[in-house]
Amino acid sequence: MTIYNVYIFDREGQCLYYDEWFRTKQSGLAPIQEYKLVFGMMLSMKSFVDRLATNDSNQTVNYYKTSAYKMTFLESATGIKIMLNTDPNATGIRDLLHKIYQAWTETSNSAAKMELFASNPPNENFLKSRVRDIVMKHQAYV
Amino acid sequence: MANHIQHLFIINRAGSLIYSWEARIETPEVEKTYEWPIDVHLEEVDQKAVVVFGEKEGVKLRYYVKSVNGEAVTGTRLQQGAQQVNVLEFLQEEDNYPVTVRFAAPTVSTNEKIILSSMFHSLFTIAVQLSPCPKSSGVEVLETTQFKLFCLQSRTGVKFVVITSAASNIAADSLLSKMYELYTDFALKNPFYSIDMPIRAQKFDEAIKILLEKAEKSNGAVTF
Repeated sequence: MTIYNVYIFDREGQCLYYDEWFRTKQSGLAPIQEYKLVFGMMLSMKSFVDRLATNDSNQTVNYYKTSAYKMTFLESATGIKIMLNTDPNATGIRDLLHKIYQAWTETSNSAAKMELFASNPPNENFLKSRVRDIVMKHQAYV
Repeated sequence: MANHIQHLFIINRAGSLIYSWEARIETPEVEKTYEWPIDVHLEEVDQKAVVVFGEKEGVKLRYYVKSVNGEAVTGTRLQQGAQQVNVLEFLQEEDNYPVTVRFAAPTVSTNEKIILSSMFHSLFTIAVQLSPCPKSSGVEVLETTQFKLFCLQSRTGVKFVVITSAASNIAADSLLSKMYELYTDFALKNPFYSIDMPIRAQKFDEAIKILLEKAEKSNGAVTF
């Protein structure tokens, strides 16, 4: 099992964070273009499932899977979107996404920031190191 | 036994819908009499007057106006005597009250199915491009909190799509390949069928119907 890469977007579609681990194929696009494509696909997928399901309750996309990878989605109430690519058979990815989201809020939310950074001031790689730490500890990470 | 298979689509290599099947589900309807001013907020969405805000007493979000005072509404147009009026404008006029409005739960129209097919076709292609590892296929499974979608693409680029409820544990693999087999037998071998065109064959409809019944009974395990 493998974890390939992660994207975090804000609600306007700006890519806030990207990291990759065992990615073996690049999309052949400039990073900015690729982020746009990922975000655009996610939006179309949302609109697709909304039209298809005639149930009245709200729904969210959990994941999609191809023969080679699985993309799991998490959207917060504030519109932060996290997408993680893994091996199609990886398990426990939803929990991992929640952990990444938690790390994200703790480093970007000011109140939590004050507490965390009281003793050691932040640097720009702080979030990166935290996310990497969380991902590498996960069982699906080889 | 509840039926889990909700939709079935066959999409040709250009992304257009050539066959669709839908489980017959009774769509809930609600009728209410309103005094001025109406307390649900309606907007025109996909040429229908749809509830976008203020759901209450059985009238839920995404429900659309089906009839007003017993008069059927086509799209957003309502027949009033000899002339047609926009139903949204009609409901803004105080003189028209009290009115009895019948709301119906949303359905997927044939037009929307065609749109959805081409949407899925492009999502499928983008998924291949965004793959982080080589030799990836397109979307094979898509899961949401309400349904599961399974897709099989044949060597020739025809896509077979099955949509089941989220609660089902139907394994769609054999069902999809059996659908592919029926497609080759009843559509492709039909001398009157031209490729990439909508499939209209009674034999095919019947075979699909039997297949789906079998699949429902055996949780998707269809033997060859």
